[in-house]
Amino acid sequence: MSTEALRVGAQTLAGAYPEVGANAEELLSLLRACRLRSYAEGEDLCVEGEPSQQLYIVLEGAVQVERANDGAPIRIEVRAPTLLGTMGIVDRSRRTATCTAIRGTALAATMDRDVFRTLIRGTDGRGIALRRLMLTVLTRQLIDGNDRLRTLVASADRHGEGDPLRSALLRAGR
Amino acid sequence: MRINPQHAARLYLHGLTSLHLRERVDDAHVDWVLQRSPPVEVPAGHVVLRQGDPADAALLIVHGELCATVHAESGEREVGAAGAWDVVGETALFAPTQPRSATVRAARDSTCLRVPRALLEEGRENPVVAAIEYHLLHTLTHRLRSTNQGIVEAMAEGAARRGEA
Repeated sequence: MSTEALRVGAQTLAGAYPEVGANAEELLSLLRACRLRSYAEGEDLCVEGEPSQQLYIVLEGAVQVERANDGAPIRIEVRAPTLLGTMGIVDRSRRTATCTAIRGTALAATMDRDVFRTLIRGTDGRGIALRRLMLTVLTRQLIDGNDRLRTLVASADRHGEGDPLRSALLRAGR
Repeated sequence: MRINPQHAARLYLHGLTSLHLRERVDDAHVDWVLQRSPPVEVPAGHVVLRQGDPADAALLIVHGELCATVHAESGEREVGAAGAWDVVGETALFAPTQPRSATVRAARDSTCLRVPRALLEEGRENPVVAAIEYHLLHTLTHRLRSTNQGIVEAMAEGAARRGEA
């Protein structure tokens, strides 16, 4: 895969996540520490229940994230640029969802766990870019998740179902 | 016995760095952080973050306990507590336009380190700042996992209720 693809990817990330505070060169150096890989439509990036061995920086395309949820699957669609596999690579838990390329080919820079563990502790441009990119993406996901949880509770309140859902809110610490 | 806040904060930052970077750093790196972010002593009952205010910094809890409440239509309700090594207000650093989502008070006498975004920018190459960022990453991961689980449980509870109706 060409250097030009990485350069475009770095510029796309810098534009989509200005809060990162890393410049395109630092993001480019981060992407150079990854392996660039294409996923055909329908191909899995990762599978629920498997050990978390990689971080995925999705640079092009769309991915379906599906959680089995005891036979009542929850599905969302995410679009590039984004990160997948962030939580598992941090806390070493197993995958909580299956991620599948949809609507054509997806392009992702994949980072192995060993590379992650080295870079995440670094004070060079790659370490700074990696930490801040992950912090920015997780912050956005947390804000979106909290909004969704509050909406569920508010909706339940309107239908007289608020107590058990408020319990869920409290358990989530929100 | 009164805890010296400067001493406690120095031990805390050395511990944080050892935990996350697996190395002991020079005192100079720790002192650099403490000069820019001196420990803040918070008496019990004192409000440290107020819901709706602009969010400009995260708080690392060196020791003590904080509790968070949210003002809703149904009144004030407690939504969580945090103790030593926990972080509160962390979304301020990478989503600065979001106002505070809760009011946070000291449940007992506490000591915190205030971490504004400027500290992260000025200390880009300081390993203690790298450790703080890695700590924030663990905190956000834990919070997001709890929130996602809360969503799944809330959806299941709602579906169960509708099924019973």
